[in-house]
Amino acid sequence: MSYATRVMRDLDRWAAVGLVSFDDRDALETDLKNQKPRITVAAAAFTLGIILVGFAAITFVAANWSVIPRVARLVTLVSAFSAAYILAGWLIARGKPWFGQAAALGGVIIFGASINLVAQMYNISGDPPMVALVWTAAAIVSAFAFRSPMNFGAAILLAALWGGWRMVAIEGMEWTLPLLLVGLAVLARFKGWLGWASIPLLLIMIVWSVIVAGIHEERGGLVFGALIGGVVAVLCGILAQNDGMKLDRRVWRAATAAFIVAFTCLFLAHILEFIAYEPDFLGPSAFLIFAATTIAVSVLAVAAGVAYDVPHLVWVGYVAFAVEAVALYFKTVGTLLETSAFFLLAGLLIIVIAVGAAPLRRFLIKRAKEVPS
Amino acid sequence: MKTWRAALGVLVVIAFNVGILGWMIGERVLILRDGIEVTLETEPVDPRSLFRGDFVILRYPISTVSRSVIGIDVDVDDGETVYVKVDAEGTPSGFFLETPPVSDAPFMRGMSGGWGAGLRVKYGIEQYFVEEGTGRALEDLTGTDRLKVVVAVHPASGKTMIKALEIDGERRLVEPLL
Repeated sequence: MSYATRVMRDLDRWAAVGLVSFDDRDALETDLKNQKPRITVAAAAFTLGIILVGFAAITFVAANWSVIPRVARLVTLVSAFSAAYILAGWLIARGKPWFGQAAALGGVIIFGASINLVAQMYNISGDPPMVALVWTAAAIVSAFAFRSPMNFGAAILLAALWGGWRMVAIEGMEWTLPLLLVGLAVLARFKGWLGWASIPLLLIMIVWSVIVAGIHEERGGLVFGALIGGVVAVLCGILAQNDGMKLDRRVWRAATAAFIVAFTCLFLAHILEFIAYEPDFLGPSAFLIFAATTIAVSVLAVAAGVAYDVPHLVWVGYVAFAVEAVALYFKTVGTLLETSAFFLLAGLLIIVIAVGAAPLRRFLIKRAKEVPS
Repeated sequence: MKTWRAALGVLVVIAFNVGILGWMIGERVLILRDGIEVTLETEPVDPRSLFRGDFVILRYPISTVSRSVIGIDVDVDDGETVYVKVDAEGTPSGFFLETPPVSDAPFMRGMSGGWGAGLRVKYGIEQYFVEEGTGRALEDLTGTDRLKVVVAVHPASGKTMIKALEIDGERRLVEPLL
């Protein structure tokens, strides 16, 4: 239920008992109708567009990468992420924080690609999981510099990526991961990004479950373990924030957490061969179905967040979308044409969602008004 | 947010990101410039690779360190930093845990990765990026006498970088400093 619908319900109740006049109620209703939603369809489409354009640019450059001189490549990479950060700063200074955060997220994504591309062109293999840790640090710095919960969410996911990668590399437990995630949760609390505090809890549980299941080397157990861990984490996340919030907000937090669990399970299921080093776990058609479902679930999370004005669901949807896009990019390296086709299809899907979200929002508000509780 | 604060944020983030890339490249330059050259033979690789065509997977005799070199009673966990002393032929002749040895002979810094025929060690030189589509041909040469890898080993840290590939005794694909 949106903020406007809740206020109108309260106003109707207050007018009925005489706390506010009917004239005031009508004036407030007019004001609410004229108020722009906190998250606009345009802003959501802009963010998804930034993500897609970023990946499309990376794909294009990758296709022609070997013919570009090294120094020119380096200048291109530094210019790309610098431009994204400058755009972010400019938008934030102009009072458009949502667009600014999206641009800053674009900068973080381009920086992650830059680390990998620099490592590739200078043949620096080193310690591969360290890439994810350095990327996490960059996302945290960006989150603080731009006061961006969106980038902070990205940092949490990158930290989890690092932990998983590291544990696969050393075939054992990486104790720093839970400590890092707890540290991020404390930072979230300190910065007032309370809504994000449930996500580290979630990830701790999911990663722990993956470890436990991974010890037994059962792939089905891996996904099942993530599911059980996620459900437990949902409860932990809700209980940790059970401080008198209204039920509907907690329901939305639970929905966000449930989305993360669903996304994680889908992600593990079709990227599993990457984790287990076992090729051909899924056939090509099953892989495509899983990938399309994961993308669709992520976009639906963004659409639901926009329709119901739930910012954290929108942010989590963006991050999930980006993670899936990166995974698919790496899975299809060597077939750049297919990767480009994938981004084209994803872009078309987003246009459909962007066009459909506004009427959906209006329909839901109208319906909520017609059926008062 | 005030304009000056946004500008400061932009500067800090760009400086941090550029600093990381600069550190990566700078460390590589130092190793290539000051490193001791060691030529390593290659071994056949597991044909299952995650990526296709754009890099070569490399294995070396030093990728497995035997128990006789490590010592009977030395316990090594997965993920530990190890230092392997290499002789002129590029075979392991000494093993150290966690702390780099004081030695005139080159020693390579690696990470332990479990036990098989011996201790598996990765040094960060197991991949070599090449032009797309040329990786398979080079991979086919691994495990023969035809392909050798010249690496630079930093004398103080033991960190390594691939300096060149040697094919049929001729140095090819020499890495420039920048």
